[in-house]
Amino acid sequence: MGHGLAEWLRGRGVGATVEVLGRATVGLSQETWFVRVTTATGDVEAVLRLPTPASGRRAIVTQRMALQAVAGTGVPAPELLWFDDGDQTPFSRPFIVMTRVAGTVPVGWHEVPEPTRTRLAEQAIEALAALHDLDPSPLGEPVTPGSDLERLGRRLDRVGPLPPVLTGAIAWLAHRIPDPPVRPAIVHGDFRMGNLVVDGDRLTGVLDWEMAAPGDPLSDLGWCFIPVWETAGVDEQALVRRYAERTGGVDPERLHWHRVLGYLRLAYYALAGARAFDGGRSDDFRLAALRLQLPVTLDRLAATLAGDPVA
Amino acid sequence: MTLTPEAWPAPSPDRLADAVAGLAERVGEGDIRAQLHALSGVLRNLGRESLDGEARGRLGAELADAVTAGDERRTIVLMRELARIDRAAVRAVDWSAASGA
Repeated sequence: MGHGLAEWLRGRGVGATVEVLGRATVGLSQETWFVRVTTATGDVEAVLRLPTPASGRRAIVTQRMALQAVAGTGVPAPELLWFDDGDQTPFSRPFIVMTRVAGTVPVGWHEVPEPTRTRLAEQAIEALAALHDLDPSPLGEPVTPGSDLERLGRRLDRVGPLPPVLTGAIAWLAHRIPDPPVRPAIVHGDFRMGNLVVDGDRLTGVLDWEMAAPGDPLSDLGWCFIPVWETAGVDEQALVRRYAERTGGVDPERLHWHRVLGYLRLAYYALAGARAFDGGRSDDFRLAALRLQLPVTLDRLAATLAGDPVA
Repeated sequence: MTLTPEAWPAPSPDRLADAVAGLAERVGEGDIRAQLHALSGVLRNLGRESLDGEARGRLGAELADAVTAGDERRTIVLMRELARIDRAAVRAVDWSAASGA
């Protein structure tokens, strides 16, 4: 692995040695390796990311494009060092190498004690507002809420018979599809605590850009408050107000729609993960366990639709 | 003398789950530890998905009817009831441990 990357760098005029420090244990899709690249100018702690059959090669290319789009802006993100979009690489697939951001990645907001949690949540909202202020055109044509729902519906169709609660949610969403956003933005696609690097009470980086695309910015805002595991325990209303102040306003009905869509998406991940395990495509017990998160997600979805508190 | 219907008594899912979670804590490698915690969560829930099967079936059928009829208010009420039953049957997975953190 390290030798292959060093050879690739040499082919591009960069004399370097590459030491593989280990593989990240978190993450269910792409391969993530921690490496140290030593060149004439010194050592760089870096991250090598590779696609897997589950993620597809497109995930790496999208990530590369997104990192280039946010480089040098106010959005904290790893710096893209090297990349290759092709298959003629030492790994026979595309890859990116980016700087390793200092800090740790908490599983969820609930793991961070107050008052650090609130401070980090405020920084996350500031970063999200900064991201949504960037020009999305380098990433392609915008995804509309309608096409987002349609694509998710097709994916859900492929995972087999759906729980009745999901059928009800799809019907609700289909009756209320918002218009395309007046001002599309770069949507991160998975903006949540599990993809944020924190160092003490400082947000140092936003990771996992493989789902980034131009689209409705409120889909990110809705998603970032959805509890993937435990409920966040942040003052959501205050954070939405903060986001609205930075961006010029939030349509509450539109945000509600995206929140319901977010729960639908989360349910899809649980169903798809369980299916991958059941079908023998993965032996990852975390995918097998995801099915147990499905009833939790569906209960939260139904509570959201009913206007009840989410527990 | 009472005979059990099985050839041998099966260990309880809870006992297996506790043992696997205990094993996880003795493992040094983070990835394996996370996998064992996830397996523990799966074991702890074996068989629990079938709880309240009759109520689930009835509510599911009523919900399908409400969706077809376009009765949104009733749809949401039934979604809420059904989801509550299903969630009550689940024993929580320790995702912090299972995520390898």
